Amino acid sequence: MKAQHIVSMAAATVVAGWMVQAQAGENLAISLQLKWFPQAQFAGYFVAKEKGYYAEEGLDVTLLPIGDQSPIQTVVSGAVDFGTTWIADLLTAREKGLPVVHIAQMFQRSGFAMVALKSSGIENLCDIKGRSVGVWPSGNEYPAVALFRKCGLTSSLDARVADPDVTAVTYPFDPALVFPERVDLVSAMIYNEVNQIIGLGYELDKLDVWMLADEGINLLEDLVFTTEKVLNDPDYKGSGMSGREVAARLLRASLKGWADAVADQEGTVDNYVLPVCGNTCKGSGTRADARGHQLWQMREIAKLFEAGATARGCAGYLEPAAYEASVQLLLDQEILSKAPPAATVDYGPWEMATGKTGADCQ
Amino acid sequence: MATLDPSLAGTGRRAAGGGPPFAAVLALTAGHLLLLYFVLLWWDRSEVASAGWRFALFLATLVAAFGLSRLAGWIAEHPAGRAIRFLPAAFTMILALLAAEALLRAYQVPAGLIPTPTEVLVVLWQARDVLLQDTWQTFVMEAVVGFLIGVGVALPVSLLIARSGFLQQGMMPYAAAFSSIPIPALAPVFVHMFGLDWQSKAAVVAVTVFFPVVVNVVRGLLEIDPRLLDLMRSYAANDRQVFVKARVPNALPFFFNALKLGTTLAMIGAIVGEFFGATGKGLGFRIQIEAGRFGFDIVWAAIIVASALGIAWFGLVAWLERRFTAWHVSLRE
Repeated sequence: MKAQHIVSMAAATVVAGWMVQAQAGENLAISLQLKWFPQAQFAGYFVAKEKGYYAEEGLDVTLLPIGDQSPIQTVVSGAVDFGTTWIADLLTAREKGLPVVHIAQMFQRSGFAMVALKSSGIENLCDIKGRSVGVWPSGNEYPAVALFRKCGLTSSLDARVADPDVTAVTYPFDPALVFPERVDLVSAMIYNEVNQIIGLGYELDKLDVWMLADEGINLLEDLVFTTEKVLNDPDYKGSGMSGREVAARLLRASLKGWADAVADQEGTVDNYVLPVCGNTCKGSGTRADARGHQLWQMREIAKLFEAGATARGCAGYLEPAAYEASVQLLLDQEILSKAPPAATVDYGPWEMATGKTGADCQ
Repeated sequence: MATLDPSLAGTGRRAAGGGPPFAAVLALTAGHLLLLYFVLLWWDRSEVASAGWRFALFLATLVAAFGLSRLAGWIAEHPAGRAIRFLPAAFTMILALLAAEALLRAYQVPAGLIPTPTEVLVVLWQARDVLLQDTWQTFVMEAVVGFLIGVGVALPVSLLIARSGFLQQGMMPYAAAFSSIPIPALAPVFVHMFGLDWQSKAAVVAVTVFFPVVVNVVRGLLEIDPRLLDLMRSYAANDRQVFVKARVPNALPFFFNALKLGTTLAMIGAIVGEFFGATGKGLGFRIQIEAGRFGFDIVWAAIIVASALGIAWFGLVAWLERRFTAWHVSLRE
């Protein structure tokens, strides 16, 4: 009896092993590094995964959260295949010799805002000499750095300036830690921290909210990237598909997910965002409720997604003019020292995914 | 051969006794020169060196290391001054830096992954003013202040515990348990409690230094040779005299051990604490912000500063230990 038991158990284990292998064999397992913890900012990817859009493309995509770190670090190390990040993070990494490649632009407009209390006396955004400004580290500080430089101010983020005009205070992403006691001006994403600050008891009529995009600092945000090594692999992970083909499939499914997400925002938050996020979805204070906060976020995210090329039917397309504007801004503010090489952007996967070219998006 | 015939090994050593082994010095010099030549040759180039060059550089590193090990062996066997004895360590450092510089240049490793030693040194110089300010914040305001607070509170607490049987039974197990709390677990909590400036990091440091000092000092005060106490009693020493002349000296080596441990913990606590929020300065802040921007030249410069301070501080405490506990068994010649 016992021996039989063991044999049947062993057989079951072997069969189960085959099944796992067979499943893995059907879909190519890849991973996408999100730029932060799960929240509506990544709604399109959650939808694509849950609705099976990735599976339809033959992909088994793992969506990875990240904390206080640049997604570029995990992708460049080879631990993760694709990632989402912001343009300044990508271009500065490229300048430092990391072979990262932009393959799709998901958000067509920057959601980076600067917030001050009306009572702070900051009338003009450049009025911040001698003030403290809250910023996030890990490559999220570049829009603020661009602002300081544009205003002709030095900051404590520059390791070569001993007596900076602006004190940049780093804080772990919760504005309640620093605002308004420690800093006069604070970085805030329009889809996240602005609502948290309102939740802390500072209604919009008590606040000045500057969208950096309106101040001439429209540094593109959430984009999809990978490395040259992934793109140029002729047989990615033994799947028979090239790295470019895998990238195209990932984009096709993701764009489909994004289209669904912005079309039904409330349903997306309830069915696809809230189930995958825990505490990280909550707002602050009176607006702590996760659902309310994520609905705000989804609404604002939809605006960023649907701007620019998306409005002309080219979601995911990196408009050359917008790209050049971001590059020029980073060059002007000396965040980049030279223009990035042409290989920094690869339209191939996006064209393959959508069947369109740049000419269709004018 | 030498292992088979001891007498041969002996003659070998004697033969080398006239001067340093010529082959070793030659290997050391040739290896270094080739590495140096390549670094200068490749100073402005930005292409990967040929396979031949890369092989030659590995070979040069190996040959130099071989020469160095032979030379170090020779120095160890011969009477030499302190300056000479220091040579192997100095050459190890030079060789490591030179080989890193040459190989990183040969393979054109991006500066966003690993900067070359010269790039780090250049940045160390360029950013010296800022790094000094960062040092003031991290080392003086956070590590040293927190350390002094931690030790300052730990000493009276240790005395109390040593005098009270109840506290020994009731508190020491917790002190030992608390002393193994990982610092990164405390840091975010303290940043929320005490704010982003130096106070929260000093608090982290104070707590991490506090428990090892208590645990060690209490042990030092209590774990005393009973014959020593008998002797003191036979001299009719009162409690105060026993404490000052027997218990305190007995506790000193334990105390200094805890202090040396504490210097390391304090540097770690201050730097890691800054990862959870900082007011625009500090070595931990600098490391975090620059690592996020792939500015690893500055990251390494900050690491060099932090390490140098950590070593100097440890050295200072070790020197104090030798001064105050020179009578101790472990320090007697």
